[in-house]
Amino acid sequence: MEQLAPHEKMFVDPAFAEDANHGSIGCHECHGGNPAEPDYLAAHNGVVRDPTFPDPGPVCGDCHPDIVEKSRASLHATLHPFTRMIDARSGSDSPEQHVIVDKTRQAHCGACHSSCGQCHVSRPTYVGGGLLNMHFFERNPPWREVCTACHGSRIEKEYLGENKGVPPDVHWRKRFFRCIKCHSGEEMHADASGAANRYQAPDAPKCIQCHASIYDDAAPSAEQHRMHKDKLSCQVCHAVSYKNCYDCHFALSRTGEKFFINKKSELDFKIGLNPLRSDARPERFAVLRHVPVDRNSFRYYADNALPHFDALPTWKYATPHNIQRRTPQNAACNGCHGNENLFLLESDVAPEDRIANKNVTVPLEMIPKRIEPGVSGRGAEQAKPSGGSQ
Amino acid sequence: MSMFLLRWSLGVVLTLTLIPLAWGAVAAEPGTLDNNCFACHSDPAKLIPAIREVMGCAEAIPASGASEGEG
Repeated sequence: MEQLAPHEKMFVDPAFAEDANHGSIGCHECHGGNPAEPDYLAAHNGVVRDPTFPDPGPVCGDCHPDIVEKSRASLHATLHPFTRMIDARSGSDSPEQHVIVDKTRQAHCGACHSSCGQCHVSRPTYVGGGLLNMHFFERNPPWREVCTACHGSRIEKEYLGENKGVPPDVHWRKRFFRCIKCHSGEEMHADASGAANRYQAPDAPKCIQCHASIYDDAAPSAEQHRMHKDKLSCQVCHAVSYKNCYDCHFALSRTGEKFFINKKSELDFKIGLNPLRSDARPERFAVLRHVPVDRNSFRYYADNALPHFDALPTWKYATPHNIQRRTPQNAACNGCHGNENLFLLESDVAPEDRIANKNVTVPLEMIPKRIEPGVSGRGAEQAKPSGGSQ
Repeated sequence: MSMFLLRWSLGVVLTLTLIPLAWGAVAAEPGTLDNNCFACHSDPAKLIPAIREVMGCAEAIPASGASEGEG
């Protein structure tokens, strides 16, 4: 995404004043300041760039009360799971240390939020801001300037096929689906205060909502879908290699600027035990992605800031956005059955992280056995080694 | 009596007419006070020098490079 020049970020189309919904609201009614002041510096005293954050109520609430009420507790507004995860790892042994961790989380992780304005009027502040369309309100935020502006290095690259050797997601390649096709406004605005992670948030999309017919007799591969139902997440068969990040550390530069360094990131594909197994996600196996956290991520601010690091796995339930109809692992039974390379084994995990990941690594005896020719009669031919897909 | 009623009616009509006009002059309707905002924010010829002044840039304003989210 190209950045905007500073004046492009704040250029307002005069026609916005004629906008039927928002044009009649005076600039200062939302942004503050004093438009009667002839000196522009004085006129900007008290101006708020994004009046919808942290509380959208005063400016959006009168006309959009239901959305405002819910979205105050949405994932994009609160980043609630971040807090839960970091709190679980930092613990409450030392209140003083917890204060440091919490401040660090707010300063670094907390900057990565969004708001009504930062989706519908401007690009998110985290990526430099700038009006999307000369201050016109965009009912459907433009995905390249809003969604993938933040969700870029993993989701965008996967979806558009920008990882070397990995094709674009079939939903993009064949249908040009934009984010909003699956991730509705209801999901974005939903109150997720009760969700431990983003997969528990209300109105989160599920593949089956569109692909309800996969178990029907007439459906392609209906037998395979029935056979593996509730055993594998969809991505186990239909995703390909995706980015895994390790060892993220954050700190302040000599001039006080916040920054982070991710020491390692690599493409990989690993099937592990489903860490979110529940009635809603009953599958035994799921695709796992290594998240950037490291037990020393907070070291710049405090030693041993995450004393309970092993409380959570570092390999997390994942839904890579590079779905393919045909993948190396589903090209034939033995593309997956007996293929140890696909599974997250204890030996794949760094020794110091094995306790944290003990509930998601796959014991060798749980890997489905290779199907020998003639045993099942269901095509036990060798898996095609190609990484391509259709 | 009729003269009094005529004057009274005229006063009411004038009052009802003038109040909205007076309110329109002070409220931030487009075309009034907001013109001060639009005068700069809708005119690059004014906006760019103001930004240069605030940012302390003597020459052209550089656009920073492409960004990449972490998500």
